Amino acid sequence: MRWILALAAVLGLVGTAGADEPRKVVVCSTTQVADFAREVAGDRCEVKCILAPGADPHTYQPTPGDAAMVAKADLCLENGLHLEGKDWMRELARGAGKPVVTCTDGVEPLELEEHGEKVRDPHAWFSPANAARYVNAIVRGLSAMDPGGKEGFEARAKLYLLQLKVLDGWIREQVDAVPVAQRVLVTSHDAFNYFCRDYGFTSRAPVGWSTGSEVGAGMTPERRRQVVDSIRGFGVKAVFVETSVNPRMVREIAKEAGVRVGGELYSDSMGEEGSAGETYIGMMRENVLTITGALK
Amino acid sequence: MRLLLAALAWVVCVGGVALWTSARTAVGSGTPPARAGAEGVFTVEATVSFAAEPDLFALETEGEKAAALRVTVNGAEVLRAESRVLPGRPLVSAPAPAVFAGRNELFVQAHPPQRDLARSHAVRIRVLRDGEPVAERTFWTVPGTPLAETFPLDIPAAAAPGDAHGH
Repeated sequence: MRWILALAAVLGLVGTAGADEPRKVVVCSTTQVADFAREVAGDRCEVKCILAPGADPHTYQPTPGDAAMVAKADLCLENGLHLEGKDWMRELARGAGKPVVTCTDGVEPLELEEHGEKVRDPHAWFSPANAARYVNAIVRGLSAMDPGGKEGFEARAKLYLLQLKVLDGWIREQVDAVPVAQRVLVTSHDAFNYFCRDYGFTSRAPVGWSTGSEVGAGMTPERRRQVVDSIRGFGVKAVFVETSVNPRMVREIAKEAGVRVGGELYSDSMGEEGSAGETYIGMMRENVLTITGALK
Repeated sequence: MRLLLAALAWVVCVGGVALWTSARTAVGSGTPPARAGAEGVFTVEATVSFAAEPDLFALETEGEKAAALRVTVNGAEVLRAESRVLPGRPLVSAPAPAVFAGRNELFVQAHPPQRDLARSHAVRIRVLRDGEPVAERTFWTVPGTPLAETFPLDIPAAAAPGDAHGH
């Protein structure tokens, strides 16, 4: 009897060996980057995100809790192109001596001209083709951190890239139903340039590329006047507020220009857990349905 | 002691059943297709009805570019185009030793341009023996998705020299 119990105990120990091996920790700056990382990492890594759904990466101030989270990370992932105001993710990683992967490496950035200065637009994820670049950067970063997981990271990424490709085709089909003259996207801040480039929209926003105080950011009376003129000139049917930006200004502009608010778009961060926008694909789907529904 | 004997009997019974079932599986898993020798030189030809383009959404692994069109036969890549493939122009592989007379498994992957993904597109695959077509299949894409099809293709054995004269 004792032999059997001893054998069972040994078998039990063998069976659980490996299950206790700690998972690598990946800390991401934004909700979009974290979603891509979860798709690639599967259950092999623990993916954490600093920004909460609805938070604004441009104006975010890191907390001591964020620094503690980064201190326990094996790898940090950031959007880059200064989306994180004052490069807070890079600074946190540097302070903790952790490696950081910039997901927009490999993206061809759009250049915006603001007050005579050229600024690179950081909102690259609004193009699913760019999202594919993010995923590739994450695969490279995770594979370097955990070479044993490379095959799995690549296999998961292949499936997710296919989903992004299908998403892109679906968006083109949806947008096709909006008359070309009606494809003017008026939003709270200048975040949708990549989306507009890929799907043939004209972009107008009263606030520049950032809601913070960087060069070319913020609202100017001139930008606001241009937006109102564009709405009237193009005969725009609706304007849109964003989940991560105060909607007051867009509501005022809508009132001034005599158009309705067409709905709320996920912009710099995704939706709460359980909402349709809790994933990148869900966020893009809901945005497209909101935009095309209001502009048709 | 009785418990030990019972455990031993259990191991013998379960082990015996496991051995018997694995032996049955090995026998019943189907015989691999016989590979004919001296069947001629096989090539694979692909013709697309659209301009296939390198996939913007491809996984970028070291040293491998994104493909516009790929064909594998029995797991071996026989055709790969990494630049634009024009519609209606057949692309022919180098001699493909992976092809043999009998049942082959082919995989074809093609990427219509993203802006034209909403329509259905066709890809025709032909297997040639010594330059003569011996098997053919055409696939249509589901609108909104790229083409990725795995399919069996039966290639007839080469006719014996006498058969060509009607004997």
